[in-house]
Amino acid sequence: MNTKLNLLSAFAGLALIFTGCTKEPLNNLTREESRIYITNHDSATNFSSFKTFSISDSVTYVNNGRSSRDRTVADQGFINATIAQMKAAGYVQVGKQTNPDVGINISRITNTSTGVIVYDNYYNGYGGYYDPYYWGSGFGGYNYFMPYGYATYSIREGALSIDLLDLKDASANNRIKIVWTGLIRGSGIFSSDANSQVKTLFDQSPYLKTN
Amino acid sequence: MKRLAIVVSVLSAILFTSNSFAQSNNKWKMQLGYNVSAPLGSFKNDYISNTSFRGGVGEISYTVNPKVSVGLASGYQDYYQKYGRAVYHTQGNEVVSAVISNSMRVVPVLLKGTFSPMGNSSSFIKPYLSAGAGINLVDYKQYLGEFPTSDASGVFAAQAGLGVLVPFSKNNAETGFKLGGTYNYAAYKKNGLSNLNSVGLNAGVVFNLK
Repeated sequence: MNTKLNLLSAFAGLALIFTGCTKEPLNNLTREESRIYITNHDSATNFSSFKTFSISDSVTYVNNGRSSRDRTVADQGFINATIAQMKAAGYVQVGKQTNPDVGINISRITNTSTGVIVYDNYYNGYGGYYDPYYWGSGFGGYNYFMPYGYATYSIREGALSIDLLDLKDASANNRIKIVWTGLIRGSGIFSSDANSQVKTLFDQSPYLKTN
Repeated sequence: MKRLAIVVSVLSAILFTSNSFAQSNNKWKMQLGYNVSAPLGSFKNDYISNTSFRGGVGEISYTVNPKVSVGLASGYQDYYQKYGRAVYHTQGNEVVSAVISNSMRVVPVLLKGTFSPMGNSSSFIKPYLSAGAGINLVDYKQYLGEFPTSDASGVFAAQAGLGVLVPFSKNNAETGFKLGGTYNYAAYKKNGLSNLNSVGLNAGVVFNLK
C-alpha cells in the first residue's frame, strides 16, 4: 500500500507542480502589446512622386466577407489620424474630384462566423468591397491590383487596414494599384487611441514622404 | 510558488508518515525535486536568455549495487521571455512591429545512470556523478503580439550531472536530500535555433518506493 501511496502522491505532486509552474504568454500581454502592425508596399513605386491625396469619408466594414459603409466614432478617429500622418509626411489633402495622386481606403475587418479567415481573402474580395467609380467616373471598369501579398496572417477578432491606391498612374495602367498597406491586428484596436496606432504604421514606413 | 510550497508540504507529510525512510533493502527509489534551468548557447542567444525557475525533476531508479544505480528520469521546464516592441523585416517589403513572446516547454525522458563512489557509507555527505540520454519533448511557441506560431517535436538529449546526497540517517544511507547540477544537451536545430542546451540546478528528496 505504501508503495502505491507514495507513487500516487509523487505523481500527483509532479502534475501539480508542472501545471502550476507554467507561464502563459497571453496572460502577460497588455492590449497594446497584443497588437501587431504590419506594413507592405510596392517596390516599383516612388512615393515621393505623389503630392496629393484624398481619403474616403467613411470606412468599409468587411464582416464575414460582406461589405458595407460605416463611420463610427472609432472609424472617424482612424480617418483623422491617417490624414494627420499623410500631412506630416508632406502630402496635401484634396477632394476626390480634383484628381488626387493617391486615394486612401480604410477597412474595418471582422469575422464572427467561421473563426478564421485568411487575410488574403480580404484582398481577393477587394474589388467587391471598393467601387472604383468612387474615385470618379474615369476609373470605371478598372480592377484593383495588389503587387505584393501576405504570408501567414489570419484574422480572428478584428483588423484595421489602411490602403494607399495609385490613382495618378491608374489610367496609364488601366487598373488601380494598391501601393501601400498598413494592417493593425490584435486586441482593443477600435477602443484604443487611433493616433498612436496609425503613427506606428507610418513610423515603420519612412519612404512614405514627398521628398 | 505558493502551489509549489503546498505540494512539497503535502508530499513531505505523506512521505514522513509512511516508512519510506526506514531502513530497507529495497532497491527501488524515487527522486522528486525542484529545478532551476539557465539556457546556454543558441538557446540563450537566439531565443530565451532568462533563467527558468519553473521546473521539476523526477526519477525512478534501481540500485544495482551500493555505488551504481540506473533509472528513468523525467521532468518539466518552462522557459519564457518577452521582448519589448520592435520592428522586424519579415519577407519582401513586409515589416512587422510587434512585442515578441518566446516560450519553450521541455519534458526530458532519459535513461540515466548514477555513480556514488562512497556507496552506502554512513558519511554525512555523499557525492555522485550521473549521465543520461534519451529524448526531449519540446513545445515551441513564439507569439507576435497575441498571434502564436507553434511547433512540437522530440529531439535527442543527453545529460551529465554531479551533486551530493545528504542521507536522512546513518541507517539508511541511500535516501535523503539531494542537491545537484546538470549540463543538458539537446539536438534542436530548427526555428532559428541550433541547440537547446542548458545548465540546471536541482534540489529534492530521494526515498524508497516501499
